[in-house]
Amino acid sequence: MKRRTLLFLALGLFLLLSAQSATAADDGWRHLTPTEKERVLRNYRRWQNLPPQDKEHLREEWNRWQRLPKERRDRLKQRYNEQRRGRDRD
Amino acid sequence: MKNSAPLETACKQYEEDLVLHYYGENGDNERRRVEQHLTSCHSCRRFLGDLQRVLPQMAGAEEMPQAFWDNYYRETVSKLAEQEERKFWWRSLFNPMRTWMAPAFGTVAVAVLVVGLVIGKGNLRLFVEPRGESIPREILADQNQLEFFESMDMLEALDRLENQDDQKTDTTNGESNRAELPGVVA
Repeated sequence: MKRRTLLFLALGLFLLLSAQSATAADDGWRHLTPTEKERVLRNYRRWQNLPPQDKEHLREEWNRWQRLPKERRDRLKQRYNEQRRGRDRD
Repeated sequence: MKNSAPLETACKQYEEDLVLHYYGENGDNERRRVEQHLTSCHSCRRFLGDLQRVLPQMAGAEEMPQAFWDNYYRETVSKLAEQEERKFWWRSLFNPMRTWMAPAFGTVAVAVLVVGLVIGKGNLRLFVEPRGESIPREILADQNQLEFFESMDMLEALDRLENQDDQKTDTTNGESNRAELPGVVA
């Protein structure tokens, strides 16, 4: 009886957390500008066609990015955005 | 086979007395009378012999193994429970409520809470406004995935960006070091 109750509780918690995570992603998507949404979709399509080793490399880069100090991440992001704006102007 | 052999017929008027004699439950006078009769009556002697052979088998309690009594106990309890259940059959309608329905209701409550959170957080837009575009679920699986696809361009350029950042930091440090040195004009 106790085991079954715990199982149901775990299932409920899992559903709750999954829904929370999905909701956060939905929220994140809604708050993107049309250009950003387009970029996400374009990257997703590109990702699907990438060879496995490139995907692996990108995942590693993503993990490395997340481990960087916030200050450095902000600086790199700012630099990248400046360069992109420069490219867009050209 | 021997056990199933019919008892010898005794004299009718001594039958009952012989049984009592066998058990030693008749009085002295009766006992003497029966013993006297037995000396002269072959049938009654054989009847008494049969009683001595058969009665111990009937009266003797067979020693049962513990497993038998355990089984007997379980069966008895089970039968009593069945009897109780038949008596209060209507209780079975509510029994599931106590076992699996309570956690099930809990799960449903959690699901309702989730829907409530989703509606409340998204100001109903998630349900009311149909999406004009179909977004792959892989993107919206979680916030991390969304950020990954959003930052993919930058991740590809991460090495270069880091190099540039390092160079800039080195230059800045060099300039500040020169400025700190006496006699050097920044």
